[in-house]
Amino acid sequence: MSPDVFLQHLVNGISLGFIFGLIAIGYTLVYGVVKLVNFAHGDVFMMATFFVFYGFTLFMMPWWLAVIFGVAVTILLGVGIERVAYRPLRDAPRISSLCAAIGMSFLIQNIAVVVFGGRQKSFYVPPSLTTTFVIGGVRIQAITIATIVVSVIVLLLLTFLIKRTKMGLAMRALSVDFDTAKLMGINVNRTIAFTFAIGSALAALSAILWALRYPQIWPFMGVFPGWRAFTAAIIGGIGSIVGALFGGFMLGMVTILLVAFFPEAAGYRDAIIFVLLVVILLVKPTGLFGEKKSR
Amino acid sequence: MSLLKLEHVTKRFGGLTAVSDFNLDLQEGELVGLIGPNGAGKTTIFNLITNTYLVSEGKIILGGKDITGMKTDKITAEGIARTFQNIRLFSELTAFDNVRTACHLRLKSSVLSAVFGLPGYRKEEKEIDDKAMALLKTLGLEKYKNDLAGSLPYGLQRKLEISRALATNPKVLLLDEPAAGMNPEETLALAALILRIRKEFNLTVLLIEHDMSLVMTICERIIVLDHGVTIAHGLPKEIQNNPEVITAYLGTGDLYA
Amino acid sequence: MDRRMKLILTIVSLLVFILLLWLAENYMDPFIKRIMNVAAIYVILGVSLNLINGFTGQFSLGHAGFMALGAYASALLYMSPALKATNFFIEPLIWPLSEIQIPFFFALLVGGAIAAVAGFAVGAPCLRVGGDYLAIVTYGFAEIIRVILNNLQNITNGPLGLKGLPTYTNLYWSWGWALFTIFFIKKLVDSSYGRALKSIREDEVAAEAMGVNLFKHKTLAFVIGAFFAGIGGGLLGSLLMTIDPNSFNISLTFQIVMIVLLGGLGSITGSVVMGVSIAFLMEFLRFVESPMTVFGLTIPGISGMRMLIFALILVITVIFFRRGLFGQKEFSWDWIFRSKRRNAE
Repeated sequence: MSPDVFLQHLVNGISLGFIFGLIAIGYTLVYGVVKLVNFAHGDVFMMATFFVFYGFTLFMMPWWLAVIFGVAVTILLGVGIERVAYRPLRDAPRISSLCAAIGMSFLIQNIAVVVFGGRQKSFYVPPSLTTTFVIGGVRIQAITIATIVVSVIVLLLLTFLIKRTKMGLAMRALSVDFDTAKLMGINVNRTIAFTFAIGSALAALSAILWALRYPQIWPFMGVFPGWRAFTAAIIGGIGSIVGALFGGFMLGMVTILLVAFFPEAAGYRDAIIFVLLVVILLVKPTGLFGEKKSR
Repeated sequence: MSLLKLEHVTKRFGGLTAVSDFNLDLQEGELVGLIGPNGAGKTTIFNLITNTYLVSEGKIILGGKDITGMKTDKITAEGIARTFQNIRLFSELTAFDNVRTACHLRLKSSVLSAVFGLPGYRKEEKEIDDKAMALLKTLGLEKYKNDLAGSLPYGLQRKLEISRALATNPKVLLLDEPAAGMNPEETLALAALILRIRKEFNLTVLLIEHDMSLVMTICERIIVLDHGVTIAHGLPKEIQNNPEVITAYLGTGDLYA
Repeated sequence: MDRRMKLILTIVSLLVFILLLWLAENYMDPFIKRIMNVAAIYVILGVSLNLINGFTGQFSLGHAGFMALGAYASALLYMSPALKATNFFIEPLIWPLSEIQIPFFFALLVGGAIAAVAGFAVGAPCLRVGGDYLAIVTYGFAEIIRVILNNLQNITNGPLGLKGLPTYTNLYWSWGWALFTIFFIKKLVDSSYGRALKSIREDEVAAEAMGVNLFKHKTLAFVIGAFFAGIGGGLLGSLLMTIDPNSFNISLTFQIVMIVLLGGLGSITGSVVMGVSIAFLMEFLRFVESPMTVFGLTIPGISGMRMLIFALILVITVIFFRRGLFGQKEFSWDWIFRSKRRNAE
């Protein structure tokens, strides 16, 4: 493989890695605070693409407005799900919340089927993003660069939010010791709602980046990236943002580079990723960057 | 005869040393108390004995056999049973089933013989039933046999935990704050109960307690822990008057004898 | 009511049931028969998943994978060599599978056994992993199985799947296995082993402290649950006459999870009732997907409405009726005759 082609795959891998990373961070944030695997995250991701789609086609918004509209409605959706399905079960045994999350995922997928129809729709990609740059023999699509740029900006904003704001502190407190944080006067409902809002925003942004890259949307499109991203979050150590990002990268790289180097293994790609997950969990049950728990 | 020995047992959680160089030589039939202010590391020691936490350093020896690092269920099979500080009964199971479950480890019949009700299994099941009933009776719980463990009043739940632990045929019984939440009458009854079951079941007992009336009444020896360090051990009378112990519990300032 | 009376009642009901099966098999409308077969298979799948998720408290999402293995293994064994040759036109089936043909019953058993081995392979490593992760990891394994089945062209015929499978599944086979599944798992759950499993669900730490070997018992649940899932898969394959790897996906697992949740995690009765109900409800609700006239207005059929309704029922149940229909209660003869006795006194 020539270095140019390799570089191309590398850049693609990084770009895809960022997307997985953003979704994974969404999962990990929520898990860190409420200790819940939000199975519906991938479906919120899917809904975001449809919100943007309909904003653009049905409400005839200019594309940039449709994006803002899509992200906003997705945030409302995410917070709404938490309010309706997860908050009532906060004191219930963990398995109930898991079931609720699975149920919500199921429900959202089927609502999408009924309301949007099961067939694939084409996601509009603004022409400016389809241009291809050629840098030193490597062909890079504008969308790839845009993905990286947007992701970095989002990550910087997120880091600022978590480390420097009161809300971020509240989130961190809840994730470390829920009950004590509650007693310290943190408004639990508001903090959790906020966490879900951020998670949904991340899902929406990554969804749009995803749809610009693979411009077919349909109700079950969230399953693949959702579960992959969740795998990434676990590999990185659920609860750790750095871990989620790292996991996302790993997964992005594996996804692209595996097929590039071993095209015959393409069909087994998903299996290999899951095998990676199992192996990592066996060796380090809390994930690569997860907190060490004494046995 | 030395039954349970802890040699230089240390436990660190990252930078925090929860237990430091803990030593214990429990003789067969003894009733020893483990006391100390909250957070001293007492329950941690129980968790180390049962390998719920792995020791960072040190050895644990039961009847001459090194059980350090052995899986918890194997340790129970070797003869160590415990109760928990925050009651951990099987709440959705009946009292009867809670005790019967603790008999399972001695079962020899295979899964298939259990499913198809072969004679070998039926016999063992009957033995389990009888044993569990006897244990419930011993602790005065036979009335509550079919009640869900989670529905029982607090004091009865504590007793149920004890009868469940006894079902594993232990040699050593670790009791973690069994008198918590009890009034003086109940505590007195508990003291009598512990002495009775020690005799009846040939037990060696290690007891964590905050209630000094219980500790002083029945413990033959006492070990005092503070911040993971053993600050005193000896007879109850000695401990009562030990200035360091008093400081640990009450802090410095005016000393109250 | 004493044991002998209960035993007699059970045996009598069993005989009546067999009689009804015979009547149904010979006289009933094939459409209804098909639903009844599906119902039996749902019962097998639901009860077996309940063993893992409900009684042992391990949230497994891998059931579709075990079904797939059972379906494929049994199909490859009961298909005739000629039928196999027709199917494997892209790449021939490897020897000796290409020549083997064994009776349906044994093929099912082998399918179940292979699924059971997979159950062990999945369960064993997963159990080091915490409860929440278990769902993801078991789902991952199901996906690995699906992907492998999709790619082994010379063993499974890849994405094309297997078509034209002979219909061996009839009411006797499906309900026979369903009854056996119920019997086996009920006896297991009521035994000392069952108590060990339940204690793991209640409190793992306490269970271990009481001498319950967590690994041994969790894998036990997985192996047995997977075995019956494999049987269910095998029966389903022969009923549908065609199997392909991609139909054994997470949606299928979700449907079984739904049966278990709605019926009650920890109630065999619940899974049985729900399995049958959902099989019939699925068919019955087809009408919402075709146009209907209400008060003179024609409402166009909406495809996907069926699953939406189910998903809604599921979410509502999980939030408001957490214990499902039966909670952890089971059917017993006492329950039916209790009121009669009270009146007699």
